[in-house]
Amino acid sequence: MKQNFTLVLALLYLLICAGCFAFGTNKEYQPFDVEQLASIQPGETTAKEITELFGAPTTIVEMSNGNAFIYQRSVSKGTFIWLILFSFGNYDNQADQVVFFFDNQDLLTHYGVSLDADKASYGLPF
Amino acid sequence: MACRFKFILSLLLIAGLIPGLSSCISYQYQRYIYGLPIQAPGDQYPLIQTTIGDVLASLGAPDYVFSLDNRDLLVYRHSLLQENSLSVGIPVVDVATGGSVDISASGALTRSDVLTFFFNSDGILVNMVFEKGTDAPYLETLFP
Repeated sequence: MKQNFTLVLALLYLLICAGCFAFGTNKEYQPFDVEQLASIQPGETTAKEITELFGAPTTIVEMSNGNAFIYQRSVSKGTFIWLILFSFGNYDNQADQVVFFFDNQDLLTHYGVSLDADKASYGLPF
Repeated sequence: MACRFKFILSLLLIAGLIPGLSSCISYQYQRYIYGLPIQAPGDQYPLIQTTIGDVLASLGAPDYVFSLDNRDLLVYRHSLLQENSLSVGIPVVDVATGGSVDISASGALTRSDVLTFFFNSDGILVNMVFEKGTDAPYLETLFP
């Protein structure tokens, strides 16, 4: 009788825990070339040279004293668990982003770089 | 013999009950993370003395860039979205009456850390705002 009860419990446990575990990655991504970034000089590099190196910017913002070109490349990693009664998901989205600021003569004044796309990770949501 | 009958009946009940429940009750929890956590800036960026170049050198590229009335804004943002949903349905009613009972509830909460720098047209820091939204306890935020 005790054996049967254990078997029923085990079956119940298996049925509740039956499900899927999946990983997924979504990339809008092509890594920035660090050598290209090193060749950029504020006060010398122009907006035209930046677009020749990096292509069309993701976003252009008109600033009070010039323009900003924003380049963004992101990576999302998802972890999913589907059980019979419960399902859980975790999505981590990180990006490599470079922002170039130009004056009214389209000359680079300064720029900022954040390379965090490789920090996107799989994981549980709790 | 009676004991064995009860055992088989239990197995059948479980085998039928769990898949049945799965169509009746389900709970989902999802979490979305955007960006890395942002630390409080403290006294690191004094007004009038800090330039846009100083901030870019220190924090890297901002997540958003805006321009408002001769003020340029750099915005650094980290956000955390949590989504819960619970649904309860009784499919037996479908078979018996053609109607159905289906109750579901869902909610999503986004909390963000936002650090915004305001620069004048010369690129000098004139204002700064920081909000640490992710410190707010999840349950207390749901039920204020």
